[in-house]
Amino acid sequence: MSEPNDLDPAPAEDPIAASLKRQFSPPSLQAIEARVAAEAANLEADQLEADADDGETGPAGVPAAANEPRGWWMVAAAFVAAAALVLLIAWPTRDDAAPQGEPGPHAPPIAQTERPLEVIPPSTSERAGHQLDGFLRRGDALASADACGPREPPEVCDVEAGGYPHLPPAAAVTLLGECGGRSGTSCDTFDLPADRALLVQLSTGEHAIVCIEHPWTDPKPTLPPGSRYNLFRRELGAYILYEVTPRPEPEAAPLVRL
Amino acid sequence: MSPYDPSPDRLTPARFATLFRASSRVLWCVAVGVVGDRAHGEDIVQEAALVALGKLDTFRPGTSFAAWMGQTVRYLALNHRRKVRRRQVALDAEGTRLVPAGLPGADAQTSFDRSVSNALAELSESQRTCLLLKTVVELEYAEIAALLEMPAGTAMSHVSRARAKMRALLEVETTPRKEAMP
Repeated sequence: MSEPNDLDPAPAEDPIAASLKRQFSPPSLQAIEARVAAEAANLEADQLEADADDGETGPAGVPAAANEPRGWWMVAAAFVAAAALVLLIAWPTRDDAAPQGEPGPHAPPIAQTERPLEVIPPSTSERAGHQLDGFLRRGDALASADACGPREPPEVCDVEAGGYPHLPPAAAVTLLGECGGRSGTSCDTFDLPADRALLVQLSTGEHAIVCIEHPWTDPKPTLPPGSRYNLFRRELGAYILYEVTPRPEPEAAPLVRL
Repeated sequence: MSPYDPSPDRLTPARFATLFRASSRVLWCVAVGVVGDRAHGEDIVQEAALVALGKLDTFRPGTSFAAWMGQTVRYLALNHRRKVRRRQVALDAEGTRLVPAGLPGADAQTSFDRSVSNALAELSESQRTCLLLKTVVELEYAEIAALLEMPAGTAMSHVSRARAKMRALLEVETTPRKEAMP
């Protein structure tokens, strides 16, 4: 690209420019890049798998079984490609990625050590179901986490949750705790398969949990056999909600608003 | 392929991840330029990337990745800024606004940095974003133009005016003090 002449070039030792560089140099974004790479790899694998599924139905007049070996190869190739893509993209190679005072480019990748499960394994649904089932049985640790409860002005909660699914303060169920979103507490702390989750007390006094996910991070949980809970799914705008509850009907998820 | 060049093909997830990695620092600057606060840059960039990844089919072949992603980042950053303002109004109404306390003993550089940061907040969103992109990540004007979907001359003008306004606001700090005559 040809660069036009600067209307007002900054002096070589401009103290303002130096201060801006000191204060506004981008931080290391490796963790975000790794997460995006993992999501992209999952998407790529899903697309290949979908293509393979299409292939399994076979063209008109051709038995599906005739295409089966090709489908298997496509699925296997999809997973191999996804794994290779994550390794290729998430591996730190850029020299300018680490600002002053942070680990250099050859330090262990932060995202990989902190969140080794960025690539959703094939058993995600079962794993997520086990986590959800176990969470409520373990107790209500999340109740001590940040929540927009009665102790905070409702308008602050509404604004904080603006554009995000939230329980209106006057809802029939009581919000006991929250993780993810802007709560400042990661749902990983509670071994929950969700970016954001709300622990609520139902009208019966029992506890339920509502997990809020984006479609592209939807774990599609399935509760383990014999679970004493029921799981209900609801789509709200661009979000997917799961309510895990001991009740036969969902009480909290239908009350969630954008 | 540069994120600023028009892409003839549709975006695949793998291509998206590669281009995102090449432009994440620039996108962070755009987010910070819009909201005027570096604390939320990472959240906005991550959210924008995940939103865009879910809408790859909205990318038009023949346009640049930087323009497409830049637009998404700006949109989310503006949303974020609006929410923060509304929240601040609510906090003000409650009389609970937190005013940054002075830092006794802070050195001259810290004090100057704070003044620069305050002066930066006085700029318009476009001026601030263009100035950060030019100064901090040292983009060419043509790249800023592609990223923010404006003519290169306009980007140059924003940077020039931003520098002039910053200098005017910081005149006291940048003008060398004259020694007192005996």
